[in-house]
Amino acid sequence: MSGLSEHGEGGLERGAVDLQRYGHALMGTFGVPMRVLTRGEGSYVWDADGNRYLDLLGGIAVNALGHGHPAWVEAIASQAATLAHASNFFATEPQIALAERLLDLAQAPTGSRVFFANSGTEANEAAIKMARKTGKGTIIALEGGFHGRSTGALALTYKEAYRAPFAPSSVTWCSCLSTMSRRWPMRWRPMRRTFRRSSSSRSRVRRA
Amino acid sequence: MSPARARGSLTRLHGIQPDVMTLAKGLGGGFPIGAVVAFGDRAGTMLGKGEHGTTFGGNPLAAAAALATLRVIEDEDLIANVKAVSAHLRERLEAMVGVVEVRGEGLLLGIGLAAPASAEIAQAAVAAGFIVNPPSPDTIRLVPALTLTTAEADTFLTWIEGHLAAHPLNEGGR
Repeated sequence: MSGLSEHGEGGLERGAVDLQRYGHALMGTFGVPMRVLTRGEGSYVWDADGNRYLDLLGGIAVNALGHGHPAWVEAIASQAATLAHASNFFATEPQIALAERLLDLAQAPTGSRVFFANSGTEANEAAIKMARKTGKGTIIALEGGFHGRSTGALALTYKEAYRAPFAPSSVTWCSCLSTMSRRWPMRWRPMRRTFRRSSSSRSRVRRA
Repeated sequence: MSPARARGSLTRLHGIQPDVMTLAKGLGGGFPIGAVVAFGDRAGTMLGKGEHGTTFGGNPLAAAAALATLRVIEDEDLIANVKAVSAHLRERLEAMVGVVEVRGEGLLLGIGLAAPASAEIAQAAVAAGFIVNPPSPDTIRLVPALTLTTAEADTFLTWIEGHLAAHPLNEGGR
């Protein structure tokens, strides 16, 4: 582990230059990044000035195997050399195998199916469309919950067949996950009180 | 958390049987991929031909990355490692002055601080060689790789213990 002195202002010269370029080339949505990172190995990453860090953030809960796990690198390199992208006009073996693997891991019953997206935000968008298509009208979201940053791009989609079944519905913010449960009669009365309070004073309605 | 455990936890803790579950984050081990798992035939057929789409979603490169990630988690029994390192982190963190609670599960942990000092602690941590983040003023979040070792965790624990001792947290900040 590098010591304190190696991570001081004086140790950031190359990174500081890169951050200046960053500030001129990228939108300011993320503020000033903490460091410019150049490589990773296992649970460690290195910045542009050669300082090492123990990565306890994992790219925000993403790098499950750490950095550069040999089996992961080999799988990606091998697949990239074989077939990287095909569009969903075509099926591919890895796509089918992964869907089957997830259904198996989730112990999903017969008839269950998977849809793949590029991120959690997009996965949630698909789930929201499914919820809207039931026609029930209201979506309940947890207060403090984070579900992504998409704007509901669907609302701007022109083709009615794509848009109409998923028309915007209201969102009710609730402070307790258990308020969503309809299968726990013992808690139904307190849940309803929580729900009403949430609806009147603490909730906001969002139109996507 | 495995998909089965994620769904199981919802049922156990909240009495909910989800029809649909979304996954992403660590699924691709760093390669972008998200997934919707629809349980049963009704949810599984809710979106028909033309009702949803994606250009990149589930392409073979992303799927290969996710398959490799899941395979390594199983082959290397990383869940056992997660349990062991998580228990170690919790035990040492909960004993520290200035830490009021440790929330979360496995290696997704929130260190609840006695004062809203998370931003300055995160900044000091980076300067000392540890990347953590402050999702709220009184919480430091740890979400390391599932491969993190107890020895690696100890280097951080020793640092934050020393930092909290040298910079005691008082009510309302410092």
